[in-house]
Amino acid sequence: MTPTQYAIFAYVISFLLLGGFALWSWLEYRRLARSRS
Amino acid sequence: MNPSPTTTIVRLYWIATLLLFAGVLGMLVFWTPREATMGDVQKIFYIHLPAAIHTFVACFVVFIGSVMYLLQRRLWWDDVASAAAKVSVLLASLVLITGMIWGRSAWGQWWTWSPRLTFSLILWLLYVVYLVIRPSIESSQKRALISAVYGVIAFLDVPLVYLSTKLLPDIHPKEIVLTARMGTTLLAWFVPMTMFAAGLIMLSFRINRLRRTALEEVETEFEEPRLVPAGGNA
Repeated sequence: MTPTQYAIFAYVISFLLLGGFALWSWLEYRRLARSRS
Repeated sequence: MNPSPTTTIVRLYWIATLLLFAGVLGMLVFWTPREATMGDVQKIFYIHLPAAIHTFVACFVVFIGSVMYLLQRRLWWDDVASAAAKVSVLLASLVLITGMIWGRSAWGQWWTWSPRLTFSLILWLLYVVYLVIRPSIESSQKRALISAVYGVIAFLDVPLVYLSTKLLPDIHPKEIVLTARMGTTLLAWFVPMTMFAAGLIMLSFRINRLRRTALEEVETEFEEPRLVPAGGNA
């Protein structure tokens, strides 16, 4: 792999990780909030 | 039904964070110069360093929440600490993963047991263990107390990670020299990363509060009914 490919790989993994966690948290929050209302 | 003003503000906050991420990504691709020795892989630095700094900040929030719980014994502080611990693990994972990819390209290996890397891995493990042991303790107060003591002790690794390159021989550079554009890009990346980390801690905290409220309601429902003597007050 070239340095450019490594950099792209790192950013793709990073955003998948950050986005995945944020999405999971938001869905969990919405589920809990709805079950209370 | 129209969303409440708070919901609108929260939505705008996350949209702004997303747009800022898009902006700094564009800046990174089209405006930031390529480093001469390492090439494009050096650009990992712009997410790696802010993630590392925010890991420390999140660990510090765990520390503050833990100390405040020990002082006040309010479960509110336990919810703050455990919310920050989740974000600490997330960001520490990001630091380790991006560091490993960078290391593979720049040093030719995914991992080396240098002091900085070792203390960083220990930090990640400490906060993973914090999150793993919590559900195994049934009593809320006992869980909060054990977590708080653990949260204070775990924070001791943060200065070790920070000082490891300064006090011990390490493969990490002691100082980083950046051009003006590189420095501006780095500062710009701190904005969405800070917003993201702060937003995620607040979201995790809200989840913790909702879970606790739901649990307390269930506990109250199944509580033994109080016996009231006939003709008198309890």
